[in-house]
Amino acid sequence: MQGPVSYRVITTDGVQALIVHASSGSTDIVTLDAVARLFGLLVRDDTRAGGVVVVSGNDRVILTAGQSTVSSGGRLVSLSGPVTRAGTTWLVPVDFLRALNRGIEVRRGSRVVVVAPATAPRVTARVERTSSGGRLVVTLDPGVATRVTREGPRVTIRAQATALDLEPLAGAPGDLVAGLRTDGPSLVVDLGSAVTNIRTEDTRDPTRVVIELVGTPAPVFDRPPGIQTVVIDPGHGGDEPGARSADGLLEKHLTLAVAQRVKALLEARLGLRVVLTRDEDTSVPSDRRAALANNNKADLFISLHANGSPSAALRGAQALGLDVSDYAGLDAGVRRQDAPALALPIAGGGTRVIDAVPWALAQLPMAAASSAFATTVVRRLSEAGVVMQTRAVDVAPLRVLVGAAMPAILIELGVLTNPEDARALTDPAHIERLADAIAIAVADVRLGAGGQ
Amino acid sequence: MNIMWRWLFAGLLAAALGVWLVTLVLPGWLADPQPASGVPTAVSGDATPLEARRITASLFYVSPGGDALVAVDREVVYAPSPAAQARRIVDAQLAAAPAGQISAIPEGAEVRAVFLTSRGEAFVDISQAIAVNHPGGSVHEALTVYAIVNALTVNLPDVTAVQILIDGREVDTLAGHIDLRHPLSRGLRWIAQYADRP
Repeated sequence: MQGPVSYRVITTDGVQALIVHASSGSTDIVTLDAVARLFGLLVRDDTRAGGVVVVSGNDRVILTAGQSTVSSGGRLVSLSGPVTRAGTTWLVPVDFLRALNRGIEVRRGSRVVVVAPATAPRVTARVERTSSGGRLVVTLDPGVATRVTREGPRVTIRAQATALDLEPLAGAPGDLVAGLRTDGPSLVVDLGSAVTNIRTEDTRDPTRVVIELVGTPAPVFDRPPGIQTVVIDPGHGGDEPGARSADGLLEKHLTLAVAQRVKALLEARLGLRVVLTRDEDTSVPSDRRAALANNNKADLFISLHANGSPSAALRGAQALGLDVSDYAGLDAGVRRQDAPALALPIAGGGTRVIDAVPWALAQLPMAAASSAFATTVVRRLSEAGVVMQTRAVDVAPLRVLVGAAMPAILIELGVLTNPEDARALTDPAHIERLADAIAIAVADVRLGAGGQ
Repeated sequence: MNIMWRWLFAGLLAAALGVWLVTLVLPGWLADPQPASGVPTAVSGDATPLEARRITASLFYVSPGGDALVAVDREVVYAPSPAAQARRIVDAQLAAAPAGQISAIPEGAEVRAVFLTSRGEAFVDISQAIAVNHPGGSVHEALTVYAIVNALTVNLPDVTAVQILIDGREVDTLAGHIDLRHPLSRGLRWIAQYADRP
């Protein structure tokens, strides 16, 4: 059962509750008796005027039933709703407190009342992922002096204030910040299991506290044999913009931004060699994209795309492998996986036997490994909270994957024609989430959990 | 005089050759690569009765979920040869969608020609609007391609695979995703009711 709704009344003597009697869309109603008890007011019926007189220190506040204004010390104060009377009980909108001339601030959004000289800055917190772990950004309004201390997995940000008015934190990655609450003038942060160290940034700004959350070095720093080089292919580019959102976000820009993040993560965390098929807004032919992977002896090829559909209902990310079962031109003889061996002359005389793989068939022997990698990517994206399409792992005759002679997949990061997906894909935190999940999936392959 | 007779004789010979071509050779040619375009109205000599005849064909539109095709029965003008019928079906598939259906085909795309080969391959030559006006996305592109591939392979037993050409040329893709360098066979898994894709 939920208790009655109440305001937190913050004074220098402590925090008390003011129970809300009734609530409408525009205002919260409290009883005059409760206000009088809380602030030590004297309430007297004024039978002549059909109202009530409230004595607050030297001021007299006169209330009349049915009126949305009160007279306070001879000046009129308008309220968000009328004063009413139910039997012997007088009911007033909560902003009536302002009429008491005691420096009272009423915050309806967070249901907080601050009574001067007490102070309670509004606090918002946000957690974002970075290549080295994460970052906690706390903003204070108004800004006040703060001191950050740490004891084990608990960080305390103590503010020079009576209390804090904290906006609840939603959707923070639990491995970075496990919990966040206020304790008087302190903000208490429980660090997640992935955080090994913290570093407070000197912002010289009383409205901002920034704490770097330094992550655990991932176990993937072990060097099992396997993945050395990854080629990431940002889809489209140049005069091929790809799909577009209603707000004009172009697939070619999105894929490049995510590719650059994935590259940074793979290089920093796994020490891999990462090659992009383009690192600017240029058009690159499909065969050159696969050729770059083949020539760099890449162990994985990841083509990044964003989807578009004639139906705005379709949303979600996807990982696709190559399917050639619809190619009518390829007969069984050509499909066989054993490649012919050719003896080629080498410099200085003699010959070397190499396996010649027909370009059009390079991806065929990789189908199983590619499909396993696609499954791993989908699992990691789901775990990161990314919405997936119903057919999260799929196949299609995808041109760019045909010539890639290594496990190769195409990732659709979301559907730009869907409003929710389009909004998410403009959010830097979501881009980080996508890049992070893809990097973790690559680490899985490297450890032998997925892919080959 | 002699010359006149000679011309008359040559004319008669040409006419006989013409009759022989139409009655005996042409039916054989219809199974060979055969353009059905360019003379779309000439496909049926006496147009009126043929124009009145119609067949029911399954055409393909985008499912409400946006990731598959749904088959819709529609009437298509009958044509006496497989190549001409193929042309009629692709024309209908590229025309505006019926009320309540979403077309997978980009606006402005028109059929330029349809050829059939003796191996059951159809080459569908479409104006470049199908690529230039394509809004992109691999799923949208797959639905565009398989709406055309399936419209022919599902309705015409003579057609087992379809290759899309643009302005008469073989192309890589429409919008960067689906490989169009080979004829593609019927893709049932893109149709909603068979859509148990692996």
